This record gives sequence, C-alpha cells and structure tokens, in this order.
Amino acid sequence: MNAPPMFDETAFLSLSAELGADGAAEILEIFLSDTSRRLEVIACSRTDCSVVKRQAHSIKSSAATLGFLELSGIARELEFGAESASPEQLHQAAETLREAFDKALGFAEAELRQKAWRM
Amino acid sequence: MSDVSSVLSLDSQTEKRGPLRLLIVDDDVVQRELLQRASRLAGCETVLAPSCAEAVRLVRSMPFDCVILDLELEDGDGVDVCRAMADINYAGAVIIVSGTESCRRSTARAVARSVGIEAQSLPKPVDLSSLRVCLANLGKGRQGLPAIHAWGGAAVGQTVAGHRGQAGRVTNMPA
Repeated sequence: MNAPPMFDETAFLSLSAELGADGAAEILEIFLSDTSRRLEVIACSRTDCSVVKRQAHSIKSSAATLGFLELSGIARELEFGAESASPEQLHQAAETLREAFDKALGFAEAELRQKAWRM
Repeated sequence: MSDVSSVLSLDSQTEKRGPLRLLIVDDDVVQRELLQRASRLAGCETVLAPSCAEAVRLVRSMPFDCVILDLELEDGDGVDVCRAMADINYAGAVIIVSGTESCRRSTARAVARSVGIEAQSLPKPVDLSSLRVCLANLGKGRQGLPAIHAWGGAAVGQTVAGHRGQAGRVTNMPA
C-alpha cells in the first residue's frame, strides 16, 4: 500500500509569511513548471543515474520548501538510491516520483493557488 | 581633515550603511528566486549566478558583501567558487545554503575559513527567517555594530526538525 500523500501546510504558510501571498504564489508556479521539466529530463535519462540523481536532488529541496513532503521524500530516496538501482528499479522510482508530482500538482491547483491569493 | 579625505570618508560611511550586495549562486531556479526575493525583502541588492563558472566570473568583476552559495552545482562544487574568491582576496562573507548532508556543509565551511573567508551554513529547505537574521547581522557587522540577533546551533536544530516534519502541521492531500 502506498504511503498517503503528505503536505506540510506550515511550510507553505511560513513561505507566505516571509514572501507575502503573491511571492509564495509565484514561487509555487515556478516550482510546478521547473519540476515538470525536471521529470521530463529524468524520463529521457533513466539510464544515466548521475542525471537522475541531480534532478532528484533539486526536486527534494524545492518540494520541501513548498511543503510537499511526500514528493520530497520520494525524490530523496531516488537521489540516494539511483547509483545502486537497476534500470528497472530506476524506471519504477521515476514513475513513483511522477505520480507524487501529479498528486502535488492536483493539490496545488485545487487548494494552494486559491489559498495563496486569499491570504 | 582635508576636503578630499572628508569626501572619501563620507563615501566609505555611505557604502557601509547602504544595502548589502549579494551574489546568489544556485543552479536551481526555484532556490534562486526564493533566495532573491527573501534577500530583497531584507533590503539587499542581488545578482544571480546559475553556475560556478558564472559565479567565478562575477566575483572577479564586481564587489560583493556576501555570497550565498550552493555546493552541488551542475558544473562543479561551490567550494571551487570559495577558492576563486580567496584568489582575489575577497573580503566579504559566505552563507552556504545546501541540501547536502551536514558533514559536507561543515567541510565546505572549514575550507572557506581555511582560505580566510568567514562562512556560515544553512540547510535546505532554507529557513527564510534564519537567512534574514544572518543578513541583518552581516549588515550590522559591516557597520562595526554588534549583531542585533543572537542565534546558533539550537535555532538551526529547531529549524531542521521543523522542516523534517517533527514539528508543524502535516496534512493529508487527497489521493
């Protein structure tokens, strides 16, 4: 059974408190766009573990900044497991990361975009 | 005091009271934007470098009060930027902001100090209030004033715990 998707609302509220609602909303949009691009890079480079590791490293930190803990955790596992993973394992891990991002994207569209602009 | 020396002294004082000039070195656009916005809100002027090569070019061509430095960049290690800064007798500070393990950040800080650069470090995801304190203290230090806030390992430890989900509210997202 998959772990439930987790979002740390405190992280997003802290970001909004520091940057303002507009600033947090803009960082969220940059994150969604940049992470989508990085997942494409991973999809095209699954046999190159150094590329996968680097993209996962970036997603790990940025996802945690926005509060997407599940996405960050999966990216972390991929970052540290990429070198020892078989091609099949890398493929599966990349798919899991993509699924976590899709959930985060759905949550952002349903909740955070509205919340950011309401604050 | 002569007129010329008075003017020079005034310029020097004005420069010390002016905004901190920061170079932000990170190959991740989310982190660059985050650090830039937070730094500008703290009253700093910012220049961005998305690579080690660009960072080295900039520190050789422009004066900075502080370099906010990632360690793992696509074209190299942030420590190499520190060494380039030492080569030009860089007199400012460094704040290492990295998602690498703490021992690697400590090593990088030690390398920076070994070449005469005062370095602090913050883990990613960066706590923006801690960064704000670092920048405020650097600004006061540049004016020869005491730090306005005191913080250290305990504060950083709480920050790390908070970001790792040991504190704060955690919400389940709909599947």
